[in-house]
Amino acid sequence: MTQEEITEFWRTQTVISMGDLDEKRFVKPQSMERIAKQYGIELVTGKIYTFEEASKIITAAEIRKRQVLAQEEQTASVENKPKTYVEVVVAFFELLKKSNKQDTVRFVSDQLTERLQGVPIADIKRGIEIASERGLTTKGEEIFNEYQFKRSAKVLKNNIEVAAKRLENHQDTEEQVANKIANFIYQNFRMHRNDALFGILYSDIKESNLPENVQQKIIDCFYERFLTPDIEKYCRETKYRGNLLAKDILRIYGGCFDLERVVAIIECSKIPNLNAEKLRYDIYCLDDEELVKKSLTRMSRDQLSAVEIVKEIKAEKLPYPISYVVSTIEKMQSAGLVLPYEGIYAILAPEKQKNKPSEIETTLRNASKEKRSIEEIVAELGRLQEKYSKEEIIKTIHDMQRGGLVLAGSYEDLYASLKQKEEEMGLVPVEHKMATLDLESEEFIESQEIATLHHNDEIIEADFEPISTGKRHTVMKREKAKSSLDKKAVVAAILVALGAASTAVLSSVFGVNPLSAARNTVTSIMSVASRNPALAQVLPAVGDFVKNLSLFGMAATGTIAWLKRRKKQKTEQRKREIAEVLEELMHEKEEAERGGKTR
Amino acid sequence: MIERGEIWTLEDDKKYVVASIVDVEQKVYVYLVRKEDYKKYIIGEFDGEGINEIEDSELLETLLIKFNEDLKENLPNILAEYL
Repeated sequence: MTQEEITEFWRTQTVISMGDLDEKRFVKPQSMERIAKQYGIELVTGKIYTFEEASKIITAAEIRKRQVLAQEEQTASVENKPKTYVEVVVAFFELLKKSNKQDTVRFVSDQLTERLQGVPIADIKRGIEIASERGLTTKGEEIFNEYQFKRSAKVLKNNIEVAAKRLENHQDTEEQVANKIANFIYQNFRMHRNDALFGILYSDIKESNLPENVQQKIIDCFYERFLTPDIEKYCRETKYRGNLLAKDILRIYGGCFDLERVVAIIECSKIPNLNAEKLRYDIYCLDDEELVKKSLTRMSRDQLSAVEIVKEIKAEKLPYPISYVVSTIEKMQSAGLVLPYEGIYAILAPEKQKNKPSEIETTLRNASKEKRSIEEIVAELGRLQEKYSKEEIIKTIHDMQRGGLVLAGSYEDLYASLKQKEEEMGLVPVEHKMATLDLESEEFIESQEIATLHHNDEIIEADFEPISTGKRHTVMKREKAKSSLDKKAVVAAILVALGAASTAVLSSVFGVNPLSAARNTVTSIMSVASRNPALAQVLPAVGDFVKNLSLFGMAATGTIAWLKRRKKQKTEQRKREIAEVLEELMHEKEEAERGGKTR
Repeated sequence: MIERGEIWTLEDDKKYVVASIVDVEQKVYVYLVRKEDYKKYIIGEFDGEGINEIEDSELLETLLIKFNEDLKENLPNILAEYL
């Protein structure tokens, strides 16, 4: 009722003039009582209200009534309206509780992602909070984090599709697309730095229609913005150092991440008191060790016999020196691995004795036990040089150190000392050189074929080019790089040349596996690259560069590596023949034992 | 006078970058990397007009070490000049 309506009401119906007392109009007491009853108003007993007073009272009462009504309406509408998103989430948890699935983080987050598409994230969060408060789940926080991650991953996929379309329609440049996606990733995944994210991110990006350089740019962004600060923070904050830190780095970042990059980041981190070089070495050794351990664990699970295990080791499914495998078995036995160790050892030991460097091994073991200094070790090894080449000795040291042998210095230190001693004494070591090239040999011709190297369960095929064909090339034109594109090509080519040369030297001087050598080289070059932002621009796609470099590194040492492998194959063939004989003997022995038991 | 970073076109019409130059016993040896395919390279003696690929494996080993040193030493200059 408006003021006018109230006035009109009084005038026409309720108010009856009481006469012109003091020229004021009064309201009949009965009418006033009725009105008071209607509105629930208390009146002053015996008082006769003027029209104005009654009008004020009734207006105030009317306003109050409306407020009450409005409030009631509001309450009623709240009660009757459809459930809010928050309530839907809570109701969902009630259902889950009934089926006892309220704490299965992955399942619940999957369901929320699939079923509640388009629901504001704040409502989901509140709903989970209420559900937690009501005791409907004990894993609210984990569920929300997982949900948020999955939701962002889903949006990322859509965004990538949209970005690819925009690029195709020339609505955005490659730079813009890469930046948009990179920004989205940064804003939405800041809290989720883990290899699961990287796995999703990587596959989404790689499977998208985005050009390869854009894909790479996005991935680079991930490494720069996420992994680098994360690893640096981790290395800075972790109190322990050395092998334990390497173990942790591998555990956290060794899954999906590119180990080369992880190591390069550590190397460039300049963290005080961190021996990055040592850490890098530890990480690679542990990485190898992990692979051996995995294979051994599988063999244990499959309950393979000693003969079968030895067969696998020989078939190079474990591409590591036998001494290394055996020492890993020893370590794992003590940690509870069940393998027919004695059987394996019985088969391998005679072969080990046949191995030429066993004398070197004994010397090194004694040196380790007696904690001899580098000088003392070098003096002992110097004597052995009458029988063995320096490379053989260094290779054995390298293998045994990989197997956990502790010596006063690294194999590099010992190599340097041996070399120095050799020079001082004018010693000419026996069989000093690496395999030489015979261009007419069958081996050389074969080396031009596709060669395959096995490493870490992965097979990398390298198009081995002969190091030299003896050809003559005429130089038709010489010029300096003028365009910026040419200049970049020059720098990239020189980097690759450096990588190949380093790889070749590492491989031929230190006898390091060409792939490991290439990997080492890549790491060094990546370190240089990451210190020089301009350099990153030179490399159109860092990933490709690394891939090419690894291959190139192998190609550079291809011929040498191939010749070494051929030698090794021959040795392995001999070993296999011996193993077969041994196997037969074992078999016969078992048969005889069984026969004895039967009798 | 040869400079590191020069681009040479050989008779096969392919362009190569002069990645490294070293002197051994008064001979000049070059390490060329193909501009369009870094996996292809030539290591040989430069006689002023052409390159003779190396056949001697001992010399090749020596050269690899020298090229490696030369590349490491000159990389900063190359980066400064070309980037």
